[in-house]
Amino acid sequence: MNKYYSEDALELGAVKVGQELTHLEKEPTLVDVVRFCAAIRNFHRFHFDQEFIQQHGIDGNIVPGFLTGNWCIEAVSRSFGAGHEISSLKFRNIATAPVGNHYRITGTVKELNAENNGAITCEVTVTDVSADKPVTTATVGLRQR
Amino acid sequence: MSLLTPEIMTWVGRSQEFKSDPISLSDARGFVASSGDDNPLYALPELGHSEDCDAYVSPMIYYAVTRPFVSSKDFAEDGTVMELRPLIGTGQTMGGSVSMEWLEPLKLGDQLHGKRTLASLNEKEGRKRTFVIAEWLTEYWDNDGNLKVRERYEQILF
Repeated sequence: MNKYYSEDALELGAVKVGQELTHLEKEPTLVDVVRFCAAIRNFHRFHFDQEFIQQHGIDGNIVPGFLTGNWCIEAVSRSFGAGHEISSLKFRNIATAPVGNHYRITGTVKELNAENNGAITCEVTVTDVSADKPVTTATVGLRQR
Repeated sequence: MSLLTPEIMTWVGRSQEFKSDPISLSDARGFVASSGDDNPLYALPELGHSEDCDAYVSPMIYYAVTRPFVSSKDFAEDGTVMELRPLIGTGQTMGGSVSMEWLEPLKLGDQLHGKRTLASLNEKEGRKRTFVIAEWLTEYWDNDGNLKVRERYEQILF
């Protein structure tokens, strides 16, 4: 049985503005971050070189923005069942996301577009639970496959 | 003194074209494994994808497969690839906001042809330093000429 999608998977034709998405929890380790950097061929030293990032006034290594952005995509994907695909993502990292902290990804349905084959957009936030502050805000688009 | 010299400003409006290798099963596996987003829609047999999903891959993989392979001397001090961007301040960079639109899903075997244009450079005063926001607009097509991805990226240069 597929365990990717949430048990109460949403359907594009039946959602309402304000409806909540499945919550995700993430706690990326340095190994996770290094693996992701390799996968996207991004070797910015802020993500794995402790001494380098401290020279720039930041305490410890930070999670790549593309990873927190992908968490937002994942939250929307998991909330809706099979038969949907991501159509857009707009995200901004508003605070640094330290490696090893605990993050919660939450979101709601923001807009319905009945004219565009039932496509929707969702507002998603990545919150650093350890520091009690948001680190990434995003808008994710979804459409019927 | 402004970071934006007249020479640097001549970069605005310039475009670069590039081509990726075909998106491989290894690319797809690497992204899924490292991101944790094991969506069965993505074309990996171990995710149990169905045959009718036509070899979809993670949307964000377009970024990975279009990154250039360069020698160590072509990296800036911060570990980023110098590529074709104006040298501003110390030459370092951080990511700003990004927006992407996938007009069609990405699939295994897609070979992306990209065209990136520097749309603007704007200098800002931050709390700690002066920096520049570079706005890059990029479009990606597959080998059949289908426009697959549009991206707007604000890069912070300092």
